[in-house]
Amino acid sequence: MTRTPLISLTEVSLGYNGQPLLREISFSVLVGEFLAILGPNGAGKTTLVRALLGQLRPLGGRLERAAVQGERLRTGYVAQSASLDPIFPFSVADIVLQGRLGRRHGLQRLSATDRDEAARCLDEVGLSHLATMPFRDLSGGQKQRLLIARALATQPHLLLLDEPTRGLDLASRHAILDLIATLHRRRGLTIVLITHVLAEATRLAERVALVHHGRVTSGATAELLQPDRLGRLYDMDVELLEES
Amino acid sequence: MESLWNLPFFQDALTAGVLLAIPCAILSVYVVLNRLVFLTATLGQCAVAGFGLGFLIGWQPSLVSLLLVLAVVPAFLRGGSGGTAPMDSVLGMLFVTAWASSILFIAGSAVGREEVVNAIEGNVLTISAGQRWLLAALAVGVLLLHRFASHDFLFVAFDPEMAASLGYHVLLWRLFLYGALGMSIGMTTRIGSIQLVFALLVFPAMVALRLSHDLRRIFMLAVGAAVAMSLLGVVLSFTLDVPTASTIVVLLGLLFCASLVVRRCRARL
Repeated sequence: MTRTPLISLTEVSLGYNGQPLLREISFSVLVGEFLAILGPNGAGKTTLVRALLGQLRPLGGRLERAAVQGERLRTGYVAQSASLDPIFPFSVADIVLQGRLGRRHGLQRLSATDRDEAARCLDEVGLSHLATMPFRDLSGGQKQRLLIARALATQPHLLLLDEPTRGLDLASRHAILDLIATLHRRRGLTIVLITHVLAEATRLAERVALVHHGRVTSGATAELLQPDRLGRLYDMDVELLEES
Repeated sequence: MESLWNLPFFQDALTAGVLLAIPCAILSVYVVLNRLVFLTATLGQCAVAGFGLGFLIGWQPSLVSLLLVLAVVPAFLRGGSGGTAPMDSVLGMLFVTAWASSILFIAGSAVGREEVVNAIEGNVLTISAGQRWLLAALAVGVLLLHRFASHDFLFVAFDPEMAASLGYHVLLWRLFLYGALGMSIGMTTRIGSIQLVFALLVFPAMVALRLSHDLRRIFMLAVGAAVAMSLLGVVLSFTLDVPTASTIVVLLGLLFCASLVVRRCRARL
């Protein structure tokens, strides 16, 4: 079955101040797929994320974001929780409600429907019992779950997660990955996972996009994640081990 | 004491204290959460330099002061991430340059000397009817901005990338907030003094953040603290015959210390 692209990049060059960091990259994010964007630190993953979010205009090439049922493509973005300043006195409920701010007309107040939807998303990630708790008091794993709930509250067509397991312990990492897999399975949500952890990509993604030396290569996970390709990507010998 | 309350200029000073406290206290929460304290101090110094420049060149000092502050604001919209110069270093250089400039402007203009000294030392006691109306308009403007856009301002500051992905124009929102801050500083410094305005843009939020985790309560506590200390400061300064702005600032400092004690006691319970 052919899937429709939600976002397609054709020979796109991305960078800052006219200097390309990624050159002539071509790949698509397809409806309902689980795509992992993989690459070493500093390879340009964040630049690619900014372009996928529509925050960075290509220096060249064509980047198209499809409309879904007549609506502008909505992307639920999940930032790394460590990047958020704990000085803000937000409660868990305040944060998840932020996902509804973009759904209002102008400066309208949030409605009862917004609050219900936010509560439902909080419940879906298993945090409804912590609704009144301050954000700063949550554990790393709980913060990441909350940010996923906030992204879900935007009612996204595409969920884009930027290294959601970074800095988490093993148990929290597994819990977050399980949650993402469940959302993909139950909701049929299109997911783009940015990571530099190979095991996460092989475990969850149908396709991967490898970012390396200013280029992006995409394809089926099993096909691309081979020792020789990965060795070239990371400039070292790579051996793949079976996960127990 | 009873006769003091009947004095029109004492009543005017109380009104001025309240009208100054309300907008500054609301903005203080945004200043502290956005980590804009040093920017606030620098804008205050620019406002004083603007008065001096106004007197020196013979233009309306308040207008020159406001224009100078608003001209400086856009330079800091991108924060420190965009360039190679750290934001605090740029602010430090601007702060000291504005400070030195205000001294030179005062030295060059005999007419402006007293006015600029007033702006530094503060004099809410000599507020005119026009200035009262100006403060009232500012308070209404800040209240409206807060009522309709507080969630947006805080969201954009907390997570600009997520906000941008939802269609927010992050730089434009920052421009609104910094512009409101710059305008408030430009309009209030001549009335309240740089010292008092800066204190009112920092202490109320710091006190409120020690006492509550709830955003709505934090704003209310900040306004309550600022209004109470302003009123008490005016009364004490009249009674003890000491400078009003400095009295209010010291009271705000003492209130902050008290909030630390309350927080520590609560944690032990």
